[in-house]
Amino acid sequence: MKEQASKIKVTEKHLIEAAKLNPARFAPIYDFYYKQIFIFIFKKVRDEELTADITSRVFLKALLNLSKYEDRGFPFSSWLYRIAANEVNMHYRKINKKQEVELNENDLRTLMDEVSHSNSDEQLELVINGLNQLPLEQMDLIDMRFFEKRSFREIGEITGTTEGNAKIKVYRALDKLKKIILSKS
Amino acid sequence: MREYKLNKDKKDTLPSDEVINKHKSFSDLRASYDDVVKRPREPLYKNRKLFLFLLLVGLTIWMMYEYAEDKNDNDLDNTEEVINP
Repeated sequence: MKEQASKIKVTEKHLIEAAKLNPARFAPIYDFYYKQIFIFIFKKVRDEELTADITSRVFLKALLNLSKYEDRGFPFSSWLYRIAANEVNMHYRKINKKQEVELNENDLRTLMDEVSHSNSDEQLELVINGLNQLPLEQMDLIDMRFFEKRSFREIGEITGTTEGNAKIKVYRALDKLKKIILSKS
Repeated sequence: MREYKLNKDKKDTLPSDEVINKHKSFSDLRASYDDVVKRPREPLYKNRKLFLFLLLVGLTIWMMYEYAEDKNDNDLDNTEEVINP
């Protein structure tokens, strides 16, 4: 399994290097990552046309900046996810509109187990209010960990830090959320 | 800004592969890429600053050339005077 993963990584590396010289060679990378980036964006914007539009912008940006991409040991997908997250945030800043994120009750209950002692509906409201008061960067971290169910390693890859650092950042965000909830309850 | 809301009724549905593939088009991406990369450059006369700068450089070169020409003519006259006083 590990061998296969490293083989894929080597092939990907070759494809990226080839695409740097000839943009037509970007096609296999585009085909491979299109679906996962589309779904990543869709979960944030919940609109098919808007998702398609932002996804196109993500791949265009990736292709235009491919020469600046350096392999620092993280998978190429983490670079694409970072561009995608920035594009979504930029879209909402540009249209000056709040990004409404609908949360699944089960996901929210998992988060509540971490930050609250009670599982009442009242507490549920407090958690949502607390989440809305967090800075965008910490919202992103909680999104990735609890709503997108990503591992600390994946979060680290997306945010461009180590697994340990990602863990620290997520727990800091949770601490802040706990403090907000305590101050309100 | 982001605002979280609780979704109690709706199921967490994701677009199908068919829907995703409908939007997937590498040729569109290539066209957009070519559009950005091979975008025609702004014509010189539309860039006022560059136009004035080039005009100034041209005028300076022309004046230096004229000055050098005048100096050459004067030197020739002086030489002729020395040869045929």
